[in-house]
Amino acid sequence: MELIPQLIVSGVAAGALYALVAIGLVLIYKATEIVNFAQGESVTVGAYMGWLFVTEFHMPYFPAIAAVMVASALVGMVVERVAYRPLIKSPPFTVILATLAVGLIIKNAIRLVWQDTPRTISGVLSSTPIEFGGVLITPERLAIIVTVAVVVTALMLFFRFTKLGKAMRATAQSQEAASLMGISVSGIFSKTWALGSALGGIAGVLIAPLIGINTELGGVLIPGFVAAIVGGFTSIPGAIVGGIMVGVFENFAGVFVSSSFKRVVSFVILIAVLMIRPSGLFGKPVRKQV
Amino acid sequence: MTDLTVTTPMQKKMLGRPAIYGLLLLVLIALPFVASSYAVHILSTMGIAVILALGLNLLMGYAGQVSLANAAFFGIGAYAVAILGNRYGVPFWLAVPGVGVLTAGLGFVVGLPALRVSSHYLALATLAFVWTVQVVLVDWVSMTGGSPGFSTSRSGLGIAYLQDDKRYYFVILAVTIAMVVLALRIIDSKVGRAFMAIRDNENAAEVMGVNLAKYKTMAFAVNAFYCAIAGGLQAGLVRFLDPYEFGLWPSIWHLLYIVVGGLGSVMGSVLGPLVLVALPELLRPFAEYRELIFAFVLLLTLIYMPEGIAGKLQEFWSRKRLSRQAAAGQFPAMEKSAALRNQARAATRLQSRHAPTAKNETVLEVEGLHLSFGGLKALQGASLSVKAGQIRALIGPNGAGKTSFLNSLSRVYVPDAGAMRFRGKPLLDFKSHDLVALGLVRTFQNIRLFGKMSLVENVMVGMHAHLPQGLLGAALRLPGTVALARAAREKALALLAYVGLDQLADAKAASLAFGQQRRLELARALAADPVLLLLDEPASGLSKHEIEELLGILRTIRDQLGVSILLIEHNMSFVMGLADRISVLDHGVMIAEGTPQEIQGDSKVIEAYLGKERALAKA
Repeated sequence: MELIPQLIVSGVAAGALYALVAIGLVLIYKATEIVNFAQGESVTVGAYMGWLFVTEFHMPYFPAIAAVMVASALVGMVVERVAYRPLIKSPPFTVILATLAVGLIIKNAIRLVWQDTPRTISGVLSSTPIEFGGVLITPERLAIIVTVAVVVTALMLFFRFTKLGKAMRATAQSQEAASLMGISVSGIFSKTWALGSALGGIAGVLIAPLIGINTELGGVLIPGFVAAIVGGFTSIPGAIVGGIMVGVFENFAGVFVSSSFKRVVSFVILIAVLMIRPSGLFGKPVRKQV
Repeated sequence: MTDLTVTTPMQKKMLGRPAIYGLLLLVLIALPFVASSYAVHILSTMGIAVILALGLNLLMGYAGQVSLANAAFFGIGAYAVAILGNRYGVPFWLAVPGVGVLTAGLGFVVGLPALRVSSHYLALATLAFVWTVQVVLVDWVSMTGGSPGFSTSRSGLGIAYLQDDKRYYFVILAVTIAMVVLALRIIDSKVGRAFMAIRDNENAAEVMGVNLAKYKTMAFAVNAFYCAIAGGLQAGLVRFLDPYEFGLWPSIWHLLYIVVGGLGSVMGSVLGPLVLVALPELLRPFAEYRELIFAFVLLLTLIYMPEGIAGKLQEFWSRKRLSRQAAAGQFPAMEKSAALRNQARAATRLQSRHAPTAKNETVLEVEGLHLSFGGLKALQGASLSVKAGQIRALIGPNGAGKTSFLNSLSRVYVPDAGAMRFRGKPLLDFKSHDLVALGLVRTFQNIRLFGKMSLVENVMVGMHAHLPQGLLGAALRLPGTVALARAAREKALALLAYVGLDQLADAKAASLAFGQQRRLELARALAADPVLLLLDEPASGLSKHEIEELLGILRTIRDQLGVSILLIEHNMSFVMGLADRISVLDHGVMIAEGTPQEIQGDSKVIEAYLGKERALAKA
């Protein structure tokens, strides 16, 4: 039986999506120390935009992904403008609630515009599996893994070599120093939220062909969040490893334990990490400041 | 006589008027006889929502701990009471309190991650719990009835005689009032003050002797208790429990009760649910937009009314009061009469619980302290001792290791090697929050007050370690604890008089000017009944006049209260004018020790401060 490698491969595909959501959360957290609870909605927006571009406007799939990124980035900028900036001096929890509220508004706006009828992006990629060394993988899943790999590589290069990427890294390290060096910190915040949400949007358009589109897609926030925590919440490679771990564990739990356990497996991982190593696999323990 | 139940000016106003409460109660009792049965149902729902909001506010508004788990505890309470009653015939009156207490235990367990992680993670960890509970409610079909829900009835619960909705409403009303009173009592107790202290400044709370682990988990347990009681009442109110009413979104909906009503306010916990239970009923024709409207209300409240309805009302009332006082020319005078101050001194001198220090007793002895941060060696064998009734200053250039030394003493840092003995007891055997009980109390360079608490409450937190009252004592308010609480309050007022702040006793600490904040911190430290005070740069940021005042206060603390002092300070004229002995730290080792005169002439000290060449030139 090839069950185990099979489970791993499809787990990696799901995990790659969680990783995208997680990276989006991590980027925003590093820049602003806020967890964006509307990140799930950028996934939903991404999926609906993908449907709009591919099914309604008949755009080819991969250019559509780029268009989706732009649309989701706009969502991120709106969230930053509405929920973060007016509350910049408030306690973190107030901002968390505000991002939740904006997420709810987006979700309900989508629901009211497109009603609750489920949709899907179909017929773009073949769902006939291809065989790799005895393991079957559908082109849809393969596309997810490849796209995520490309996006993550591009992201790494962006942070290393572009001016904007360096400015973002500098701002994440010290807002004060960055602003003294002539970087517009509020501009960076806005762009970081845009980038983080764009990653969520990509996740949405990639997941749509697999599980369909509805307004509950934002639930992917939760495994994404767990992935980020497993990875230490400040590290992109950490978020990737965390995402893949969650994806693979879920698959194993679904097959070997029960399908209801699959739904809580990310929480089991979360509790385990919080209890054993709250700083995550890649985070550094924080020394108490006095 | 002071009114012990007072927590905020607004509550004082309201509590001062029993007539209003009597009237309100009469209205609440009369309502079901004139209202429709639909309205009675809504009123009952409001009562349950108030209990939920109280529980949530105690945890989040008062103790400052984030939780999204409330709907899970609510659901556990509801399902447990319904299942126990309808399936196993356990009587309602036994099931509700029993389930309440057991769920409190579960709340304690859910609160455990709070000891290790802060708001974001905690939000998620508790979210995980809600999710898991909901999966159980939906998937454990044989017990819970699964996703179609669980049918329940009052006769099934053994309370058929409450079949009339009006009668059941009275039950809810009585329990709600009891829960409001309980919340007020908890807030105005050692426990409540510990909650607020943790919310306002965790580090300072710990240093004042508050056991963070104990009180954080206690707040979670109290929250779970409130939610489960609300759930038990819900099981009797409705005919049918729907597992989807106990998930994440209901949890957030309950959060809205206190965000809109007012975080950290009992009044807000009552007002929020009244508005938010009524609102969806009024918006029934627009059911489709319910979630959207709810999200907008939440967002707008957060941005434009972060203190909630109660906060706005309070602001309005205090403004009115101030303008009335201004009109009557009643602004409190800042100066204290000498007589009152002396009286205050007498009061503070009486209190010490510690064995009196012997003449020449060495209170603190530190030997060979080593501490490093990675490659940086902050302390390399620093030693020092403080004798009873002595003021010792620890000075040294920037980066000499003074703060590291103090933080090692107050058990914030763990030294790599060395011995620290306080009155013969090794300090390494104690945790940070135990030090106060020993008589070792510190202040902070960057003042750490409990900003949203009143001055008198701030000082009372200082007495935390010496007050015996626990949660049960707060709930029952036995005569003994009442007398103790009154005495504690009197002592706090006396201490405020001692530092000249008694006229502002009910003001919020955050509203004080900088110099006043320093004095308040000192009063709070004195409330902790110190044998040795550790002061971290007490003069920094003070004006010349304020420094003079501080010198006077510190000398009387030594001379009249017999408290020893170890202080770190950069202001040399302050140190030279105050200290009996001075130790000089440089690069983590003591380079000199002696009287102010000896230190001023010490060439090694001059070298450390000014560099070798200047030192030679000076010689």
